[in-house]
Amino acid sequence: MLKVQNIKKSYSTTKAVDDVSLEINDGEILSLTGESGCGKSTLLRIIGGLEKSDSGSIFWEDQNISNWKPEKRKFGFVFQNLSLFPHLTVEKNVFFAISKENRTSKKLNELLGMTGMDGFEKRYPHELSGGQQQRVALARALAIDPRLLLLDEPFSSLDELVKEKIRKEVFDLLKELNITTIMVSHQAFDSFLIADKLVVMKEGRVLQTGNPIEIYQNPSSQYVSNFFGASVIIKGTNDQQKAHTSFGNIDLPNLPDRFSLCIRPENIIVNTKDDYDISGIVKDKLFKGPHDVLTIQSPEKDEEFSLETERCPHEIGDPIFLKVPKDKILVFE
Amino acid sequence: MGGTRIPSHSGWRILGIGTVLVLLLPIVFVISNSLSVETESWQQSFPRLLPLYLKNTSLLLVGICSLSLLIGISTAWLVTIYEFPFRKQFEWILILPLSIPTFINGIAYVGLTDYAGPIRILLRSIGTDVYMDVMDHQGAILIMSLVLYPYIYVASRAAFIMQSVSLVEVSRSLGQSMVKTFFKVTIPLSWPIIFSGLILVIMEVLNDYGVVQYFGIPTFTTGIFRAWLALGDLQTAILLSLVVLIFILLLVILDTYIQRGKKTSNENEDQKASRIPFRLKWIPFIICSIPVFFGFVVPVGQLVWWSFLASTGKVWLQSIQFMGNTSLLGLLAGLVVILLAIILSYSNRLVGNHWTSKTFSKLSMLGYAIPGAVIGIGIVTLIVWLNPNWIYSGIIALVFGYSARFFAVGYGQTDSGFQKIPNQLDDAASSLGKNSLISLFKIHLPILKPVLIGAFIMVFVDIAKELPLTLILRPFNFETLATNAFQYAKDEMAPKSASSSLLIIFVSSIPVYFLNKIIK
Repeated sequence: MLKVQNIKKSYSTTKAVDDVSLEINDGEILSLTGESGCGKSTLLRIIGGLEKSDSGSIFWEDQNISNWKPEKRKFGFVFQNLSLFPHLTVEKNVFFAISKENRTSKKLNELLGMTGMDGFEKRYPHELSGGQQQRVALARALAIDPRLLLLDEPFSSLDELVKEKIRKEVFDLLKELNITTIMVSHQAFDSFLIADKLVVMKEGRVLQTGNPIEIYQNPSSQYVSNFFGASVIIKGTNDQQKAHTSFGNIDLPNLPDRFSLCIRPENIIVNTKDDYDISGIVKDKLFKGPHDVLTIQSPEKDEEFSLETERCPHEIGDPIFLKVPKDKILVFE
Repeated sequence: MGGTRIPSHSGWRILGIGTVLVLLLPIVFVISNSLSVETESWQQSFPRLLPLYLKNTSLLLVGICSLSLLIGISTAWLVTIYEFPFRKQFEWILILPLSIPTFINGIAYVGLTDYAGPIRILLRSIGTDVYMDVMDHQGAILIMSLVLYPYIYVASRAAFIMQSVSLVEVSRSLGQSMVKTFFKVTIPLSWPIIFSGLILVIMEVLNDYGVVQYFGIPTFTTGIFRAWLALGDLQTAILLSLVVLIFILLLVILDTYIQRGKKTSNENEDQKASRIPFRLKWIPFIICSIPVFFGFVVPVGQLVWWSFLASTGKVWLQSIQFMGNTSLLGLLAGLVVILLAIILSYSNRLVGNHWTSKTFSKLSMLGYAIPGAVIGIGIVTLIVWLNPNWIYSGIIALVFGYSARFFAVGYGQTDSGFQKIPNQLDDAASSLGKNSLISLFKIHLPILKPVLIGAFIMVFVDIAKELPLTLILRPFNFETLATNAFQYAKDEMAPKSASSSLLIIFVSSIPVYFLNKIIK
């Protein structure tokens, strides 16, 4: 088990990591996520020993390893740019850290087999595709039987088509090998698919920790909500315990004075004027393959939001009536 | 093919090819004349001399290369990876010893350690004395390495900076210590670039005449001198030159082979990792201070001390006169080099990416690889062939020799300057009805002015430092700073030449500024 306690790190005047604590249990996959510059990569580098924190400690199985050199920690590290050694073949890259007597063909076959790279032993990195380089980088990190695997934006250098496939393969492999993993990703969906636990960071601080479904459904702030996909945001005021908005009033309990309503688009149902919660006018309509994107304006024309819906018969200028289940509405001050 | 007809620029093409051929003449003459050497003469002295020269030259090469690699790579590694006091200053201070020509460093160290030198004066003042002799193989190796290691330092540092930091980090995360990482990752990846620095060291050693002559170590260079200047035996001189040429050729082939290796540069720029603070921060400081102290501070100190000892108005006046001679040669040859470099670069630009232009520009750089003594012999052979009654030494012969030897220095910079000018500019000019000559004067040369000045300075400095070529081809009684410094030292009057040496060092430290900028 890895425990990170009150880590702080500043570069000149900016606080890269500001008092972060977290824990990861054996076999868990934890994803550090947030916009670029939120401090997630710095935190990962501090865990890996590549960067020294200004204060705070890191414990591995109750042993304080804060001052250990990276080579002593036995944490496998896969870098964003993969960093395969360009002067070595696949085989030598994978066996880079393995002593001569332990370089058996059984071990090599095992490592290349599980990453799907068998047959490429003699190739050089520049002869491989991005996805293949990714696999070799992973095999190389796994070769040292790491106690903890650290992945820094592992999928960002891959193009969309390969990414999906590799992400799934990596996830299955990590679970099969039961390797404790910390991954850094600025793409919310990387984290959804792979992580058991998510840590959302902003400006060096942890905003929210939890499992992906929890965070998606119950984000602690508007920022977190937005980070995991577009939401419809409507401003509102408290009007005698009713949410008063430009698009109509909704009954909601425990409202602050001023707030934003945040609704996932998939929870909004286009309905008829007999049964609706909010209404507006279609200001614009875009065809977007399987979906339509509507811009919906309030009757007073002072506010608007866009909504991705299934194909709908509405034309520009038509009134539109929407139903929103009350338990799916998030209220942020 | 078909399509529009591109202007052939045959005039420029002939000029360009002509330039290369003229520059290659000295080498061509050495090779062609070696074929006609009479067997009798080469059976006499050659087999006797060859093993001796071979042994001494190889010893020096192995020693100097090893020591330069050790100093150059280790200091470059410290300066690039770690953080320690005065690290930023060391980045350029470590290049300074390059401004001291090998033979001047030799003179300074002999003066430092001989009976009248400051060390033994100090020892005697405390009632003791130790006999010291630096004038042997070890001494020569040490003295030359101290001023040649910057070639390795500059190359290694450039290679280390280019290398992705994450390669070092990934190796450490895989459990390899810094030391292991250094040998398994950093060095193999940097080797092609470091090797090109090493080749420069090798060429300097082969070119050196001053140190080995002064120290009495017979090498190929001193052999060529002895054969020609002392014995008038041009044929042996040609044969010895040929051996050196073959060695250089092998070196160039080896270099092409090494450079052809795997791609080493890392395209994806990653975030710069912070420098690792060295736990005992004064240790890297001391390691970096040692070569600077012994390769710059000590020799310059000795020369300054001497120049105070022998400081008479007459000595300085003489040095100023020699400075004038040096400047005259540097100015003439520098201008010739820049002019020829412009012609070759521009003709290559007009002809386009044709294999001939690539080959010819490669060939034109060959002179830089060849020791001054060999080029000198080539020019003597050429003049003797033209008319045996002519006096082979003279200003024109010298300027020709310098141009053939240092063309690469000026051409390299000029050509890369030309390549930075977009081709569209030429097209725009020709669409406005300007011919290629007018474009050159109205567009390229004004843009290139700073590059050309930089190139001129580099050539000038190399000429100011050059000794063997000057000794062979200079007119009778014509002294430059370099010949003066060397001649006086040989005649045991070193203090009187200290002012000349200091002037050379002063001029030579100008390019250090440029060199440091290039790697940044």
